[in-house]
This record gives sequence, structure tokens and C-alpha cells, in this order.
Amino acid sequence: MLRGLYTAASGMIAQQRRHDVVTNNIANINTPGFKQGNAINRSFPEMLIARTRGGEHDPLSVPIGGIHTGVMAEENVSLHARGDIVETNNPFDFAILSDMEVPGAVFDASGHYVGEDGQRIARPQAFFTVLNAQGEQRYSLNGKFSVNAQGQMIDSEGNPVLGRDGQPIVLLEPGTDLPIVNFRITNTGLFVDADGEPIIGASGEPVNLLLTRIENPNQLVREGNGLYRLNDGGQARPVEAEDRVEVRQGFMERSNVDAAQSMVDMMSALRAYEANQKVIQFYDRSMDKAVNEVGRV
Amino acid sequence: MNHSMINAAVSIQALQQKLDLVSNNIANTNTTGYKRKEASFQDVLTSVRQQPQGFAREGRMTPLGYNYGWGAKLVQAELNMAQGTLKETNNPLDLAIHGAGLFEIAAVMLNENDEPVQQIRWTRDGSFKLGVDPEDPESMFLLTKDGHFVLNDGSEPMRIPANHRIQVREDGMIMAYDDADEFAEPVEVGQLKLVRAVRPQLLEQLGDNLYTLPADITPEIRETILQTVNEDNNAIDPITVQQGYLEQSNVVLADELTELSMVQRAYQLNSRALASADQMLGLANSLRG
Repeated sequence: MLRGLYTAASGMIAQQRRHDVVTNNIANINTPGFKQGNAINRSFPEMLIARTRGGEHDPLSVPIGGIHTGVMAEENVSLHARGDIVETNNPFDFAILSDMEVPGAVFDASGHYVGEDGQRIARPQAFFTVLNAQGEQRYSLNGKFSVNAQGQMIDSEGNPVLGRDGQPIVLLEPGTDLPIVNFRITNTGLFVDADGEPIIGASGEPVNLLLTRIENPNQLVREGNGLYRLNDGGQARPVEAEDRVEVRQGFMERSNVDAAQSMVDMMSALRAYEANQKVIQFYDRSMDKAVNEVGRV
Repeated sequence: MNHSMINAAVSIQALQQKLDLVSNNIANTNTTGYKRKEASFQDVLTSVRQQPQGFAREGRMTPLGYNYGWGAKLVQAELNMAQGTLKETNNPLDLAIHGAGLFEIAAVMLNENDEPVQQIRWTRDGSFKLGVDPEDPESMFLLTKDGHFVLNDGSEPMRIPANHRIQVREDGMIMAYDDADEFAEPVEVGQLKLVRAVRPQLLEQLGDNLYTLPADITPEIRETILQTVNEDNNAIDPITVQQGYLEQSNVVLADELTELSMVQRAYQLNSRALASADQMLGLANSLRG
């Protein structure tokens, strides 16, 4: 059996996965709030190989060493660095600026810190909170919202945006049901009217955007449509005043995909795929020799 | 097809739609009262390839499962209701709206039995004209340039007495002065029906500078989307009418061209990805000679 044949085939598949992730990044180069994905490969488990039936005086089996027999796509990690914030002048566009800290951690550009004991800490991030069609909470960074006929604030897929009281934000004056036309939003996500007075919602509380602090954003599962899901056990809580989080109205966060880097990654994935293909061809040629030429008289 | 190919193809389609939108905006740079359309992108549904329990190794950052994205799509095409510049025309029948308002008009359309029916529409284009009323030679209809009736605050077609010149006040009240008698007192003809676009996101563009609302919007909740302007609710961000002016399109050519080049570059990147995916398929096909 030619082990390397299968190793090269697994390499082709893994490079294909990498290429897919880069293509998806390129596809979302203009998607507000999109976070670039990063394909991470892992080698197959190492195995020990040994030579059996060696020379006459050799013991029964001589160990040779470890070998990995392939590679696979292990995970697709989103890079939770902030994208550029651009002004749109649309009062229904929101962007989150967060600069959260964890005591004792100094984060690098990708939002990670590795402590002296090897413990990795990810920088917590703040997200908008929306309800999906099944009534479950989802997190989003795409702050391009609008309002539906019922006065509910919705994201671009029609999911209601949640307020601090856990209810969808409704831009109607309670009692009179007149639409709230002029509103501004403060840095903390509080809705205020033209005079700077807080707008009171149906629950009697001021209307306030619910921003959720996700302790480790790598634990989020991307669902598409700009939404993220947090599995059981993930730490999340509403953003507090001391969290250094700001909301900007009339701004949006651009995708953080780096076009040049994506191009390079794509080319390297393609060429690595090609190299693996060549290896398969070489194996094929040596098999060809073994089958058709060895032993020919 | 491999994933990269589907991914790039889906995104190219979305970019093509965006390109159509941008070119429509550019085409309407000189359309009276045109409001620019905007749209943003969204990543499409992500699928997760499950990984077995116990697959996780120390140092893994994400929960089990391998995510696949499938490209981007265009969402949320909406109107930008920003004010266009006003251009003086000196034509007394040219009216421009200042503020987020719309004229309410009744468009005459044919129903399925080819009978004319009136349907309520809204427009920002105030280049009006007068049309004769076949039943009443004493009065004229105020019509849009396509011949639809301009409505007054009682939702009736606005009538102007014949041989009168009109003056439109800022609040939309029309006064008529007799051409024959210079010293005659002006006649109050009626108040133009103006609505405030409270939720411009819900307006649908019909072409011919007309807007409508989705069919599921009942007249009861219409008022929360397009609020009738009256004295009581016009104090903040007032909506006013200016006679002798026309509102120009709010398309800024420089912005559109920036968008255009951005879309074009994204298109190029995606077509490179498509070509690269194609090359990979070619490599797979040529594995054996």
C-alpha cells in the first residue's frame, strides 16, 4: 500500500476546504459586520511505524518513528477584530465600538492573549441581540436596521431587535400608538427624543438597545444571515456601564476581510492543492512502473 | 460543483443586482424628485459539518463542527429620503417639497375588466399641470405630469377655477387670483394633501416617480407609515411646499461612482475566486493524464 497516496488526497481535500473559506470571505467583502473566517488544518493522528522481518540478526520488529498520514480541515475560526466604521447618515444604521478589557490580559490585534501559563484568553465582544423566527436569542454585528409596519425595529432579515427589557423594540408611543419619528441614540444605546429626554416604552421603562457581552466570541457558532448562536455553557451578559462599549448611530461596521490577504490565501490554497495533485500523479507513475515495467523481459 | 464555485457564483449574482441598483441611480441623476436607492449585503445561511464527540483537541478555539458559508446576498433595498436640491423654474405650477413629505395623488389605472379605477399613490415630483374638466368648464383639475389627480386634504381631486392664476402657500394651501380682475380678493381653492414619510423603508417604488405601499398595509395603519401633515404635527422637521421650484434628484454622482468601483472590484475578486475554483476542478480532472 502506498501511504502517501492517501495523504496527498487528504491534502487536496483540506486545501479545497481552505479555498472555500477564503472564497466565502471574498464573497462577504461588503457585508456589514462580517467577520473573516480562518480555516485551520490539523494533521491526522500520529502513528508509529516499525519495520518487520528485517535482516537475519534483527529482532522481530525495528521501530522507525512516527508518521502522520494526512491532514484535515479542523475548524473555521472567525477573526473578531473590528472592521472599519463608516458614516452612512442613515438614522437606522448602528455600529458598536467596543474595547473591552480583561484584568491582566493585553490583547494582540486578533483579540487574543496568551498568559504565562499558556492559558489563552479571547477579548470579549459586544453584540446586538435579536430574536430569530423561532423566538430564540441570536447575536449580530450587522447594525443596519429598519422598522416594519407594526413599528418594530428589525434587522435586514426581519428579525426583531431586542431592548434591555428583553422585548422587541417598538417605535410607537405607548397609549397613543403614534409613530416615534425623531429619535436619537446615546452612546449607551438609550433612545432619546429631540430634546434629549429618554423615550419610554410600553413596559414603562426607557427604550434601550440590548447589547450583549460575549465573554469568548470564539464560542459563537455562525448561523449565516449575520447571526451568531451561543451554545449552552457560553458566557454572555448584558453590557454594563464599565464595559467600555459605545453605540454609534448613523454609522456601520464594514466587513473586516482583507482583500489582499484573501487573494494570497486563495493562491496559496490553489497551489498547495496543485502540489498535492502532482504528488498523486507521481505515485501513480511509480505504480505504473511497478505494474507494467518491473518484470518485463 | 465545489463549494468555492457555488459561493462565488452566488456572490457574483448579488453584486450584479447591486450594480443594477447603482446604474439605476446614475440613470436618474436628473430625474425630478428621484430618491436614491440603497442596499446592503448579508452572508447567506451557513451550514455546519458535524464533527464527532471526542474530536476536539486541546487548543481548539471553537465549538465542535466545521462552518461553511455560502456567499453573500443583497438585502434591504430601501429609499434614501434625503432632501434633493431645489431648482428655480419660475413656473407657478412647479412645486417642490422641503422635508420628508410626499404629495398624495390618485392614479387612474385600469382594473381587470378594463374599467378605470382610482388608486392612491404618492409622489415627490411636483411638476404639475392643469387639465380640463369635461363636465365643468368653470374649473380645471390639477394633475401630475402623467395626468394623475393631485388630491386635496379631503382626498378629492384638486380643482382650480378656470382663468385664475394660483399661488401656493408654504403649508400647501392654494389660493387663486382672477386673471381678469386684478383687484379681486383671492379665492381659497384647497389644501394640498401632504404626507410625512415616517417609515420610508416601507415605501415601494413603482416607476414614473410614484410610490405605493405593500398590499397588506391597511388604511388604519397607513397613518403610522405615512402621516397626514396638519398644523399640529408639523412643528418639528416641518414639511413645506415651495412654488416655482422643482426638487432635483438626491443622487450624488461621486458617491455612486465610488460605489460602482467598489462593486466592480468585489466582482473581480469573486470572478478570480471562481476562476481559481475552476482551476482546482481542472486539476482534479487531470489527476490521471
